[in-house]
Order: sequence, then C-alpha cells, then structure tokens
Amino acid sequence: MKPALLVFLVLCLVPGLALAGSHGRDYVPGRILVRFRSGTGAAMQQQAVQTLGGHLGPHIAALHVTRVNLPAGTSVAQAVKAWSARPGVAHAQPDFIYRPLDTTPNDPDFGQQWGLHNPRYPGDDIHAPQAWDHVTDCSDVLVAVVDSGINYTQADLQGEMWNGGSSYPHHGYDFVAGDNDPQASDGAGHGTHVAGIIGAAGNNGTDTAGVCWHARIMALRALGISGGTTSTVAQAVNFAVSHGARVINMSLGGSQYDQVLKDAIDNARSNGVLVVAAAGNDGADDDSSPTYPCAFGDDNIVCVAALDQSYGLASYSNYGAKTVDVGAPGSTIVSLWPGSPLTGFQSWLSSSTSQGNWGVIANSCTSSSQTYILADPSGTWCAGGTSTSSNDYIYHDYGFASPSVLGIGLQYEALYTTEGGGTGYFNAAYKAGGGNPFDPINPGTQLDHETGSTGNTARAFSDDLSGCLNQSSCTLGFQMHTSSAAPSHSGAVVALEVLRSIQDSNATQTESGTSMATAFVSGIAAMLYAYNPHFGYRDVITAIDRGGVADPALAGNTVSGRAADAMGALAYIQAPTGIKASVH
Amino acid sequence: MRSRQSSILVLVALALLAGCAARAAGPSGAPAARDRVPGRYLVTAAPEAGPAAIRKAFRPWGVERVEDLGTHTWLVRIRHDPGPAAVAHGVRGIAGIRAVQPDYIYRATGSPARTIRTVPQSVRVLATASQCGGGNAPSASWIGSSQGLRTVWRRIHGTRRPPPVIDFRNDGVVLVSMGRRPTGGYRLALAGGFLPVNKGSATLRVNWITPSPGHVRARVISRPCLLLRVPRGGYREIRVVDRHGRVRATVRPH
Repeated sequence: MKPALLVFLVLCLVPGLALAGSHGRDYVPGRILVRFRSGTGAAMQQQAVQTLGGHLGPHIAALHVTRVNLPAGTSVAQAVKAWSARPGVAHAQPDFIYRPLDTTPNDPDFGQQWGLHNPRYPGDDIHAPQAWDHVTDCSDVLVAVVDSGINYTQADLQGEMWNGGSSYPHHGYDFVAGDNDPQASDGAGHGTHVAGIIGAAGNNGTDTAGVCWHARIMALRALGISGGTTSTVAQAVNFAVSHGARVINMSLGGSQYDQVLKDAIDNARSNGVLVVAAAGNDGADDDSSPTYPCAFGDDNIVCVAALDQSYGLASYSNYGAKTVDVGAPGSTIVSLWPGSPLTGFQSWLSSSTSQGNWGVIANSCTSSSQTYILADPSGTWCAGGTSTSSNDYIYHDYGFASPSVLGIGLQYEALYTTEGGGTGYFNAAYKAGGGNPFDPINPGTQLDHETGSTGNTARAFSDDLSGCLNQSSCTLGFQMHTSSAAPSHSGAVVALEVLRSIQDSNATQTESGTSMATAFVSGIAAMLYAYNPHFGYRDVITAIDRGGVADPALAGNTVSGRAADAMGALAYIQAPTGIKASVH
Repeated sequence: MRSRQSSILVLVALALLAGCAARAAGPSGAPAARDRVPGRYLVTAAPEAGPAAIRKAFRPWGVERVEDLGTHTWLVRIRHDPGPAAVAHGVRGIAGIRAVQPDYIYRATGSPARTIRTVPQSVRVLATASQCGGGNAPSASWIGSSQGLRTVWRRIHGTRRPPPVIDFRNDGVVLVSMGRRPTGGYRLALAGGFLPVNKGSATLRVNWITPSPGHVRARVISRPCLLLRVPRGGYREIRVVDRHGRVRATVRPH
C-alpha cells in the first residue's frame, strides 16, 4: 500500500485528525513569515525577493518577522523550503491559522441552554462549543420548519430567515390560512421555539444561541394552535422540496398511517431531502404504537426521542428500538417565543357579568389566597359543594389595536360539569369590536361549546383569536348555562393565557418535548451540510447516528442507542455518497 | 332467527368491504374520530381526472368544495360524512379515483399532554416566614411525621403557637426554602392551590418574589420559606416550579 494512501486511511479512521485534515488549510495561503538574521540588510532581503518572487509585506517588529507575499502559483510549502535555504534567513514558516477552542457565544440566555452546553451534568449535551470551533454558519443550507408558523420578526430570527423573493416576502407560506404570510397569527409559539433552537442568531448579545449561529429558515405554517391536517402538512413538505430545502423539520405527529403524507415524504427522498421528525410525547413504544411521519420507514427520515438534563429518556418521550433513531435534548429547553403572553385573572377583576353570579375570586377551592379563578363566587362548587347561581357569563375586554401585535391566541384550562338533557353547557366566545359575546341578538364568535363533565381533571383548550387583531376592543368570555334546579352543575376556569406574537419580540420560553429534540437534530444536520456541502442525506444520517454519544438510556430504546452530538457528527467522516473518486 | 342471520351476514359483508378499503384506512385500521377532520377527505386522482369527476364521485354526500392541492391530490369537503370506510367503498372503482383517505390530524409535539388533576383543598399554606434558617441555596424538603413538623415549626414560630394537626396518613408537608438572600423583601407565595400530576411528577407552583428595584429594603440577611400541606399519593416527586416554569427544587415523599 502506498504511504500516502495509508496516511489518508489513518486520517479517515481517526475522527479528530480527519476533522482537521478535511477542513483544508490550517495556514494562510499566499504568504509566509520570515525571520532574518540580525545584520541582514534591506539589500539582501530585496535580493531574495528578486530571486524567489513575491514581495515583502509589513515587518512585525514585536515578533522580529517580516511577512512575505508569495507570487501566484507558489505553494506555501515550496516557499518555506526555498526561503529557509536563503542566506540571511534564520527561519521561515507558514502564517498558521488559530481558532478559538470551545467557542462560546455572548447571548444572555446561553447559560440556560443546557442542550448546547450542560454545566450541571458535563457532557450531557450536544457539545456545541466544540462544534462551533469548526462551524457556526449554516446559512448555505435551507431548513424548512413545518410547524405553527414563525414570528419572523423575533429579534433573534430576523436575519436568519429564507429570502423568498417577491413571491414569498414573508419567508414562507401559510397552508392553514392559504396565504403567503406564515406569521404565528394565532399566537402559537411552537414554531418560533423550534426555529430558535435550529438557528437563533448566535453571539449577537440577544436572547439565545441556535445550534447554527447563522441559518436560513423557511417558515411553513401547517399547524394551527390546535393542530394541522394531512392537507396542510403534506403541502408544506412538497413546498419545501420544490423550493430547495435540504432539511425539513417536522416537530409534529399523528397516529394514523397516511398515504398522502407518505407520498410527500417519498418525494422529499427522491429529491435528496432529509426529514427530521419527532418520536411523539405519549411515553409509548413507537414500534407497537406508531407515530407518523416517524414510522413511515423512509430512509431519509431521522426519528428523534427526547432526553432530560441528565440524559435519561424523558418520561413523556416515545421510544422504539426499530423506529426511533436517536435521542437529543428535549426537556426544559429555553428558546425563542413570539411574544409575552397575558396571563392570569387579575385584569378580570372588573369584568362584566349579567347577574353577578360569576366572578374572579380567591381560589377557595384550595384555600389558597393567591390563585384566582372564574367560578360561582361562593366557591363552594369546586370544593366539592354545590352551587345555585351558575347560570351566567363573564367577559373581559382586551384591546389589540397596536399594529405591533401580529398574532393572538388563547389557552385556558377549565373544570365543568354540565346539566344533562340538553339544558346545560359551558361556552367560550369572543367578540371583535367589544360587547357581550353571549348576546343572543348579536353574538360573538364561539370558541368552545362543551357538555358533560371534566371530573376533577382540568381540560386544556387552545383557540385562535386572530379575529381580534387590530381591534381596539375585543371581548373574551366564558359562560355556564344551568337551571337553578341543578346545584351540582357549574364550572371554573383555572388557568388562562392570551398568547401574542409581537413585532420585534425578544421573548423566550422554556418548553419540553420531542419537538425540541427534533430541532436540535435539524440544527446538527444543517451544520453537517454546511461543513460538507457534498454530503447526501444518507451521509448526514450516518454521521448523526454513528457520531452520537452512546447513552445507556437509549440502548434498546432507539436504533442507534446514541444521543445526537454536533461535534461527534462533524468528526465522523466518511466518503460522501454520490461522488466517484479514484486513487492514482 | 333467519332475519337475524341475514343481518349478521350483511354486517359481515360490510366489514369485509371495509377491509377491502384498507388502502384508505391505512395499516392501523379505521381511524378514531379524534384523529381525522370530519367531512374532509383527500383524493389521489389520475392525472386526467379533474374536479368534475371528483365532485361526481362524492355527490352522494353533498360536496361543499373541491380544492386542488397539487401532485394529483384533491381536498374534498362533504356535508354528510358517512365515515371513512363508507366513503372508500362508495368511490371504489370510479374512473379517475386512485385512492381516498381522511384528512388526518397532526399535532405539535412540543407540549407533552398534561393531566391536571385537581383535588379540592389539595394544597394549603401552613406558614410563611422570612427567617427559616437552612442552607444558602433554594431547596424543598419533605416532612412526613408530626415530630418532623414540630421541629420545623419551632424553627419558624418558636414555641408561641402549636403546629397544625396534619393527617400524615393522607397528607404530607413540604418546606420550600428560598435560600440565603442579601436583604429583606424576598418572599415565597403559593401560586396555585392545585397539585397537577403528570406521569408521576407533581407540580407545585410557587412565586419567587424579589424586592422591587429602588425600594428601601431591610439590610438584613433573610432566608424566606413556605410551609405547605400537600396530599399524598399519585406521584413520585414534587417539582417546585416558579411562574416562569423554572424548576427551583425537587423533593421526593418518603
């Protein structure tokens, strides 16, 4: 075997060495540094230049060296050899490049981003600072985020979005509303959070750092605040493929085999596009209870489970020895949010009711003096007692006239037991323009209409309030309808958040889920493509799988048994697929 | 009897027909109602098939709208939805229709499903104080006996007042400590009287209140705490979470 080939193979087999070698030059091309012996005059220096070519650059007095700019076509190695042999030259060497080690960004929330760097459990992270020594800029790689829309004005995302030209001036498409503005118009923060994990601007002194400090993110809104459908999700995947995405992040899941979405994923595969998908949050075995798209089985899908801060499998994370590929950080992940929500009931203290039967009260259900709920003001019903005055409604006026409000949504949790026989119900509604949303003559827009009983388990609701956008007055209300002969029937709203997407928001939020883990892997995939532009999706998946860190929590629960690792994936070198090479 | 047998035969035949439509229902069988959008179906059509052919195929169920999604896929909205199996059976064999399936629902996987169980009178504040002793860092500790409660109570209140009576068979006591603070003005407050439990982990919401900037504060080291009665059972650990969702401390009952 030829020595050169042997050296090449050794480089390929030793990840660390291979990384340095594959990155190309470790010195500045076209110039060297020369230290002349003392007493070597300018004439002798000029004579050397005339003989060897090039010209003298600045003399760096503090180092006693002179920079020599080489003539075109002269390699640094040749020049070092030639200059070292010249009389009057004490030493010649390349102008080596030094890079910072364990690069850390100055973003204020970086210290909380344990998935990137985990000071509490060292090593239980994706080793981002080490990877950032090599790659921070993934902006050559288009990553599509098929999700709930993105607040693309978020301070840390403004410069990291896809330029869709005049056809797509808002960096993507909204398949829920059917227009070209994928803003999170219902205030849902999921897509913005996911996008931030992938590519929040890094080292800019603002909010968080993404896995990639510079990214090119395409926003594809396929989920409303309470979910999306095959038609929106499959269209988004096809859009991403036809507009050049190399990575599609799908932090979403469904429980049904879906041929139309499968066809879209197959189309992505045919076009060499990588799909990174969430394993799901049911704490279930995906091998026996599949989550799609993870379980379609296409070889361009990476299916991701979630890890907690000590790299255990998160309690909610799905797993699967045959269907889930890797794990990644998923629990208590800090990332970007479209805007700060309006929370709690304090602002409802002066709200309107028709008969004074509903009210905002100290939470007598639990003897706590801090929690406010909406209920029968006596508070006895939710403590297991009865109510005689629940046939009423309450509403509160929120104004959203400010043009800086780009999206509005509602999340609340309610307890109710309604009267049977078609008499009783629990309602939520809003009215753009203000007034009573339950006015029988001129009602508002109904959000939820519920019958039955939640028992003692509060039920969560999510609703789109984008109809309130640009409205100086918009009322939100809750209603219980019962007869006085039904004292055991009533309701309470025990938690409430009005979600908002705000222009130039710099909000952040902590979220958990396999969605977050998926985004980490998409970021790593973008890094790999940026570092190795010739890689195909198989190369990226192999690097992620085999370059991951073995994690006992994932052994037997995933195909690879490994946690995705940015540095490990970068260092895992193999010859790219689809490129022919020969050794002469 | 014969009539009953005929009915059974019809049911079996319908079931078999539904089985023939497996391409529509998918490998996992008939979808649950919560997994699809009622009245919406996706049709994979032959390239030459247009909206007229699709309208005709779905006419029995009252077509509201037909939408071209590209790649020979059409979204059809119908008024009267007989269910996926019946639709698949109804359009089977019609020229130009290659496959039909429900418009399935997908959900974001960023917020694990919560199970918030509310137990009346679940969490009760027993005491709040600014000088509770203890360590420098935030912590939570479990008190599972009258003796343990007496010890902590004396540390907070001295011997002026007797400790509350707790039924330690059904309840426990959690001491949440803020740790050492440089001045007065710090305190802890219960933010939610419910104790939601999700997969064995209970969440106790406590507001971590710090002094307002600019306010004059007592220049005294404080160690604020909150003593809470909580119900036992249904969880392995209690996570003390502030209003930003940050886990400040974790305690396991014993």
